[in-house]
Amino acid sequence: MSRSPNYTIAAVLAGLLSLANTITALVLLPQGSDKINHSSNQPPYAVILVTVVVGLIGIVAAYGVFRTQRWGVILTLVLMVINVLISLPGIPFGPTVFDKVSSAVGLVVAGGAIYFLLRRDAMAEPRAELSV
Amino acid sequence: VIAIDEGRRARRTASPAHTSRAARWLATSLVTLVLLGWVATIYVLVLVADGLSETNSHVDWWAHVIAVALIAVTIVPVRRWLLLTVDDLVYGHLDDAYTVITELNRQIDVVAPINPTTADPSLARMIARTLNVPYVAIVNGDTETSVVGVRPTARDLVDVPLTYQGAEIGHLYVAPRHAGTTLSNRDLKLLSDLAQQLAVALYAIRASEQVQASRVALVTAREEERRRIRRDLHDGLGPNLASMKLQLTAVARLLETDPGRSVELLSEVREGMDETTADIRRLVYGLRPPLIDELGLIAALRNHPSTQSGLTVRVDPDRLPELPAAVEVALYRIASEAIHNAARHSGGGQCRVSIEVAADDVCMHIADDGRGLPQPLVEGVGISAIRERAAELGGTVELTSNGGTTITTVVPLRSSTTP
Repeated sequence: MSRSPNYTIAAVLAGLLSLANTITALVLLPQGSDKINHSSNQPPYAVILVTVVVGLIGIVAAYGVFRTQRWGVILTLVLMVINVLISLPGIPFGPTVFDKVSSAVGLVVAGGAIYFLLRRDAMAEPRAELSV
Repeated sequence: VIAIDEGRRARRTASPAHTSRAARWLATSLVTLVLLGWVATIYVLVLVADGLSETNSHVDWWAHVIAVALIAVTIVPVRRWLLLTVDDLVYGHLDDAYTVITELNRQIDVVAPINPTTADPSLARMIARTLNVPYVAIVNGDTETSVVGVRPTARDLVDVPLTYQGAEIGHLYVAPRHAGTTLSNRDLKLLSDLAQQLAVALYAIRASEQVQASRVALVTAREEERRRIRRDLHDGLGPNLASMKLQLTAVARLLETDPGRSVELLSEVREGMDETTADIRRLVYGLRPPLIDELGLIAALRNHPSTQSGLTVRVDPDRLPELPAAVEVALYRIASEAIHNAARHSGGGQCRVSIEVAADDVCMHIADDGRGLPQPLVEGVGISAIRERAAELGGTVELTSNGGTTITTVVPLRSSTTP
């Protein structure tokens, strides 16, 4: 199947978000679980680990979307929903304004990726002349 | 090699069925997951708008009410949208319409030849499995040819007309995957492609049936004709000739002893021969009206017996190109019946017959100036005979009543090339 602009946008959004999440989490990861868990300004260590895994898988999935692979679309969809669920608590409970904003941005980008993944291109799929 | 090929084919055919349940589960899971994200997002955003933060955990009661209301209002349309889009996403084989249509052709040719007399669900099952829908029905004319699943309410049913060359052959009914939704654009596009293939197949099958029915009708007509000739010969000519033979034997015996009686018997024999000659003439006339051979179609119609009953019959044009014998006879008999009806029932005084010969067909209009057709019209034996004669040659008959009655008959020439 040929790639629609929707999939291109979704792939870029999902790829950038996954890349950002991965880099952010990888930067925090060397601090170790003890330090991170005892810091009030850091998310739990488990969340960082999950973010790294989700981010890495997300990069691969975004590539799948870019290649218009069905598995990539489905996987990205799942990962973006997970990203939404992970970002949501950060908006009200983020310790810093930066955390709140980055969570909100993550929510918007993931939501946008979901929207563009599921959006149908009316021009690419003309409605058949059928009565319903 | 054949066994391996059949095995591969069987696996290919079976694979959609195996993946069907998994695909349905995956679609449901994705919809549920995205809906969960939607609900959570709305709820959290409303609470954040009300001031929920790390330092402020107090949330007004109306914020919960607004969040729930927003979710309640949006959940149904979002779910409907998700069902359609996720279905498109999950049922991946829909992309390959070529494969589906190839499979359809194989089913039509090999697995499930559509036979109206036996409701074979194979074809409908294949489409249902391909589209992953719960109900499919293929209707050929008024007959449900292939059905699978339980018919949902008419409101939920997608009706795809099966048309070929502008004529409606039947319908393809498909139920959406989820109640209260419809099929996606991609599904509808694929159905449209499938419908074209189905329409061609149904048309071919219907044409084949019509040819078969026509053959049966021809054989039946021929046998009826033979039976009638046999009856006429056996019941009419046979006894007459036998009677004449006996009379001639008696004449031979009485010739010397009673010449007067012999002369009487010979007179009876002569009368019998006249009757027999009339019978033969009637029999021959039944096979093909001799007037057509003697005078031609136009003159034969102008000299129709009904003209002697006071009805004025005008026939146009004066000359016709050479027509196939079957067409000439059919036109003569149709016109005879129509003129006869005009003379008996119309109450009019004039009847006009006009014949137009085109490259592909012959069109004959027979119009009288009578009182027209009764309403409601109950077609009698005469009209039925006219229709049957036209239909035998693949023609059509149309009756109109507008200040008189007009019968328009169109008979094709290409299928009537019998010399």
